[in-house]
Amino acid sequence: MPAPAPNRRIRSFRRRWIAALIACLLAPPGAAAATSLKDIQIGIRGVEFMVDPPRGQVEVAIIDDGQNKASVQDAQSIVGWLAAAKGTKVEFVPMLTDVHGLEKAASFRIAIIAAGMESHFAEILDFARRHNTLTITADLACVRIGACVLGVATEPNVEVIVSRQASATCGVDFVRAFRMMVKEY
Amino acid sequence: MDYGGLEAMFGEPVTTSATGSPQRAADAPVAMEIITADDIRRSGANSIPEILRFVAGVDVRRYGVSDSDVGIRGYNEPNSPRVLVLVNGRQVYVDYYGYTAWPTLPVQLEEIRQIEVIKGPNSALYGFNAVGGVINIVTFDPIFDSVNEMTVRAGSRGEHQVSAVGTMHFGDRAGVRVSASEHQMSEWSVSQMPLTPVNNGTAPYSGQPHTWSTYVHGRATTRSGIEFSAEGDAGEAEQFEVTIGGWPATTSYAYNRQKFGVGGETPVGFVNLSGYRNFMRYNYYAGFNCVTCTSIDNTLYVLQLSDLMKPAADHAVRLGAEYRRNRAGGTIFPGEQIGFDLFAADAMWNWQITPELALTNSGRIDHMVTSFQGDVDPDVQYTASQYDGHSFTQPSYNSALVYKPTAVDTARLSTARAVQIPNLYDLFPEPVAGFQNPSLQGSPFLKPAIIMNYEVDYTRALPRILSTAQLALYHQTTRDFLALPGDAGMDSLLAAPSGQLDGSGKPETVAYPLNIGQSTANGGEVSLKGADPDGWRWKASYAYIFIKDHISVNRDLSNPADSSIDNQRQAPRSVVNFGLGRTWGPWEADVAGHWQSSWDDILVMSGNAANSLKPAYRVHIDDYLTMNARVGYSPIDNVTLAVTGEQLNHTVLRQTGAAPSERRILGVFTARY
Repeated sequence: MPAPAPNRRIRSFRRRWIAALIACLLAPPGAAAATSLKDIQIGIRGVEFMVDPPRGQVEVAIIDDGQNKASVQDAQSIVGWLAAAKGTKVEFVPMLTDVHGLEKAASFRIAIIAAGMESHFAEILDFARRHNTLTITADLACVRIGACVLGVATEPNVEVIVSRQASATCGVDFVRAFRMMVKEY
Repeated sequence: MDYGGLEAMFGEPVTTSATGSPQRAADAPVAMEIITADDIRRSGANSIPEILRFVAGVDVRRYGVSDSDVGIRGYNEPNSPRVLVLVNGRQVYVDYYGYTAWPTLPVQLEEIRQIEVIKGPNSALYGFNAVGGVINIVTFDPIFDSVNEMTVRAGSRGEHQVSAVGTMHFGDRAGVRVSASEHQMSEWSVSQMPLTPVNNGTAPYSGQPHTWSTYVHGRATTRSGIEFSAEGDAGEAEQFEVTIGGWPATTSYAYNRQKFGVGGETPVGFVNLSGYRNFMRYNYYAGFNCVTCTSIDNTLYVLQLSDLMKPAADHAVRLGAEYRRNRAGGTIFPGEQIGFDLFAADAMWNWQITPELALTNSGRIDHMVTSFQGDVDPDVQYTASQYDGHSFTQPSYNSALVYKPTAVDTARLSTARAVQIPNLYDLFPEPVAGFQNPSLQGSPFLKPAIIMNYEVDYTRALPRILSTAQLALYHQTTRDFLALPGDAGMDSLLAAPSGQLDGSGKPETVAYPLNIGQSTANGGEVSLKGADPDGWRWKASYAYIFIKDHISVNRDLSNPADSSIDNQRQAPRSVVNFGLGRTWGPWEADVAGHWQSSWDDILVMSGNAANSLKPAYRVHIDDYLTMNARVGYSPIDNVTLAVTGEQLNHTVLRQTGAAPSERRILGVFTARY
């Protein structure tokens, strides 16, 4: 697909950002369930289906809410699983990243969003847009409103969804076969 | 496409066979069964038809140790024309006689990722002849997969096979897989055919069926996503075979095929261009009044262009165009060439109406023009100009609603229109004067058969018992059913004296094919398949079919010479398959059973036909149960030793009207490197 024209991208981003902001305001804190090991195993496989995917050692931001204990615990679990993950072509190096410091955070091509981030979708989208980051989450609401790129649910069946808007806004694209197989929003 | 990566991500097999677009198997808008590489290994089978025998709704007739015909949902016959077989989407179905010569498939079982069996018509994607179903054999990918394996099989009656598969990767964007095989068997006792002698007292085959094959498959992608692919294969096969219409014969094949493809992202979607050439030389040493045993050279060129796009989040579209050029010649056609040119356009549209409901519509239109160069014998009622330039234009479609109300339920409601064209043998004259009597001549005015299918499918995951259950119910009609002069026993219906003499001075009879009416099939399949974490696996299925012919010409069904089109009696009504297996530590053990109800086979007893009619015979095949088993042991990671057995509960078993099948025991050594 051709990249949207700059004006369209800006307008589109504004709409996504406003939607994400509204979602943040309406969302009860800590509403999302904790991320599971299987969510992570499935989610990081999505990296292989990026157009021009990263290779070798790749730093991955594990974005949590440092002021939310459940979110921090979820992020720490993700760090442990990711450090132990054996990717075939990629070695993931997890880096805990507090959502409250995203404005000053380094650039990451991949970010995993921990649980309990419902009120920070707008910051996540803004961060991903600035750094062209693939954001992966087990909170499908983040994808459905266009704030995260890739969402994964693994119970009772594997479900993988992609936000076209977030994908375009963040400059993240997937190979055609993958896009044909996921549900897009 | 990275089948392995996608399968690992989605936790289920992935397919492109249903719509031409990658899909999870559960989302496919057709009744489909996917046989995985693990299923293939554990089956212990050493041929694809023997693997397919255990799929609900698939009918396999084994006429010889290496000769099989595969039908889906009834209407199976020698040289079965209604099932389209593909290797990685490339046709290996042979247009001349309209069938699949299974020993000429170049793939080794070890390099197959999965076999996708689509039950029911899918002409809208594949064109003519995908009417009973489609079998797409998908091999491992040379870029993403690494298969390096050598297998030696040896066992009963002197059978032995050596095969090897090797993969080379060039960085992470290019790879080549190469395979080769040599296989020798001993034919079943052809003298045990129900009516002998054939071919004037000489059994039509006394040799050893054998095959050799080589296959090369390479792929490369650029950093920008442009994909290149190339495939090529070559080989030979010889076997006893029951050919079109039930004629026993010795057949040898020599073949080579080449395919090239390039594809990439464009502003209008993923565009793929591919072309391939299939060459097949058949040598027939037929068990009939063969004046000159003949060879036929059939060459097919195919050029395909497709564009796959997702213009909106809920919509996927595939557009395609295809050109085919098919030509046949050889010693059977001295100085002549027959064939066709075909132009087709197709479109698929998938609309995800809601997260639970999807609609898939596919449509295709085929325009085929016959080509004939040469002379026509004076005994034939058509002229050369009538054989040349005759055309068909036929639409086909598949439409399906897929409804997934819960995470464990999937329901499909589908309808399809498909087109079966006559094969080249039935469209063109047989030009060797006196080649046989009756003289079997094609008709340029034969109409394609039209198949309509209406179907309801339901799939439910049963997590409590770690299983998945499937149910399919269908109603299928075939209009303008093709009765071919090659069909055993149709002579009295189709043949008439030509007023000429044959090569031996006898009055000659000429037979032409006809569209003879309609046939209706109603049936269903129910199956259960599962596995548990302790290594147990199980499967069971039941298939039922009831066929009713509505033949619009008068005939006497009690006379075998008048009744080869008797579909209701030529398919077993009930088939039960079951299997149980377990893996524990280095061991694997599996047992599978197949029971089918009785049916009638009708074949030709070859020989000098004094009455100018082929003497057909009908054989009633009793219901039978056959059991296969495999035990495998891996003493170290890279080596597996196995013993496999087919038909363990019978020394000999009459499965068809030809020679009875014989028990087969094989030892298998596999080394991976």
